[in-house]
This record gives sequence, C-alpha cells and structure tokens, in this order.
Amino acid sequence: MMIWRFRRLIAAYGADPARWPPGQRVRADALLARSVKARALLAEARAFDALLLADAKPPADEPLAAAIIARATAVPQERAPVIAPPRAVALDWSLARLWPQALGLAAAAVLGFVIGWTDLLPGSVAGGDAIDLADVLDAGIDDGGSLL
Amino acid sequence: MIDATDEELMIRIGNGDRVAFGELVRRHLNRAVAVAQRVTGSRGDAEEIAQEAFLRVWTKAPSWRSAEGEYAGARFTTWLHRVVVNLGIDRKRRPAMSALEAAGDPVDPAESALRSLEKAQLSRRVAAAVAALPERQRAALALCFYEGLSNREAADILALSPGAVESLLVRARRSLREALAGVAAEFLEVSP
Repeated sequence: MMIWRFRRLIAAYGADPARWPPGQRVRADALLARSVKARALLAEARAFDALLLADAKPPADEPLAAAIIARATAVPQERAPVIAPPRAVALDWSLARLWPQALGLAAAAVLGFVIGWTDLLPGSVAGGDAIDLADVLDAGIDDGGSLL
Repeated sequence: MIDATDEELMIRIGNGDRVAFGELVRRHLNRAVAVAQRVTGSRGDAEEIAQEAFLRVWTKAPSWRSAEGEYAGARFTTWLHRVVVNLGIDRKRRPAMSALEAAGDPVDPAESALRSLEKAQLSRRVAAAVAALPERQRAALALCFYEGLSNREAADILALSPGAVESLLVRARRSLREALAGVAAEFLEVSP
C-alpha cells in the first residue's frame, strides 16, 4: 500500500483496523511495519478518534424496550391480501345429467355411419353406376360451362 | 436469549410471535437509537424513531421477505438501519421542533463533578459538530465509525457505492477536524 492510500484509509475510517475494509488491512499493516510516516499518521488519527468517541451515547434502557414492544404488538400486523386462485369450473359427471347428451351423441354417430355406409356402396346411386368425380369434371369442361 | 438469526426471528414474528419480537428489539435497540440520535442530534427524536422503526418491523414482518422495491432481499440489519436513517433524515429536515438537547447526556455520578462537567461539555461540542454535518456524511459516520458497520453494509443502507461512502467519511472527518480544532487541546487535558 502506498502512503497516499494509507492516508486516505485513516482519513475515512480512523485508526482502528477493525473499521478498515478487510481487504486492505494486511497491506496497511505491511506499510505500518516499514513506514515511520504511516505510524505517525496512525497515532494522530488515534487521538482524533478518541476525541470523536467522547460523544458516547448512553444505551437504551429496558423501559424503552418494553414500551416499544407493548406499543408495537398492540397493532395488528399487515398481512398481504390473499389472492385466491381462480376456482376451477366444477364439472358434473353424473350420469343423470349426462344421458341426454350421450344419447344425442350416439344417435348422431349411428346416423352418420348409416349415411356413410350407404353412400360408399357401389350402386347406391340411381341408375346403378357410381358417380366418378373425374367424369363430372370432364363433362363440365367439355360443355364450356361452369361447375358452379 | 433466543438462539436464532435475525432472519429466523423475523419469520417467527411474521407469525405473530411476540417473544421473538422482544428478542429482536432488545438485540438491536441500542444501535438503532444511537444511529438515530447521531442523525437527528436529539435523544427524544431518536427514541421516537426507534419506536416507529420497530413498529414497522412488527407490522410488516409477515411480508418483509417478499417485500418489493428498496427492501427486497435485504438482510434484517440493513433493512432496519435503512428505515432508521431515512426516518432520521426526514425528522431532521422538518422545521426544528426541538433543537439539539441542551441537557446533554446524563453524567456518571462516580466521577468528580468538575470532570464530569468537562466531559459532558466536550461530548456536547462533539455532538454539535457531528449534528452540523450534511445529512449523508452524518449518517455514514454514525454507521461506520460509531456503530462499526463495514463500508459495504453502510453502502447498502445508504444506497450508495462503497467508494461513495468512503468519500463521505473523508469529508465528514475533515469537517470535524476543522470544527473541533480548538477542542483537541482541552480534550487531551480532560481525557485520562
């Protein structure tokens, strides 16, 4: 540590190494070991510290502590408002409520199956021939007409 | 005495534990009052500030860990001292309701009357010089020099960098040297 840094160290924190930033104590001690000037600065700072410490503050007394505790604990604590999670939509899976929907779904499935089955069977169209989509498209183009 | 960290006590206080609150108050009251007294220059104001600070400790304990903003993630001592310093600065900025207490601190009856008087006068002159410092210099000096907090802790409390705290301390002590230049010789005669 250079002497200018040591001078600033004690100018800020005083003479007690306990108040110095921990990372600088070893280097300050090394400087003190070799520098008369540093030791003189330290002695001067020590006297000034003692002067400042003449202004000692008396400790707080027990009645003050008791009064603080009594006063504070008479006040209700502030609790952050509990934000309730959104309620899940209650699902009623009872059969009594579901059977109309189930019946409708089954009927739609049967109807769809019947329609699909009959359309897919060859000869289901009048005339006995299955309609070929390609034929229809060709016919439309040949007629110069629109498919729409 | 309860063997628990400040943060553990705060969790218990958050659950309404009055015994834990009493332990925390007794653990930190002296330092809170001393810091507040040095910031405001008044013992009466300091005791009121300590009451207000610990009232906040009690009422806000249920949510202090999750507090947002300036207190988020702070250690308890940093949180407490920040409250004390801010309350002290606010109080000091108000129009003067009570000047620096003329009565000073009580004297030790075991000392001779003259010597006690000299020491009390000296104490008042130092206190007056400290009270005349700008508020942030006063707060830095109270935290680092008088209460022994590290400059990093003081930096957290004052929301400054450690280097800025060091600069405040240098300026504070330089101002005090000038203000107390005439007192030093008297002090050397008074001190044992």
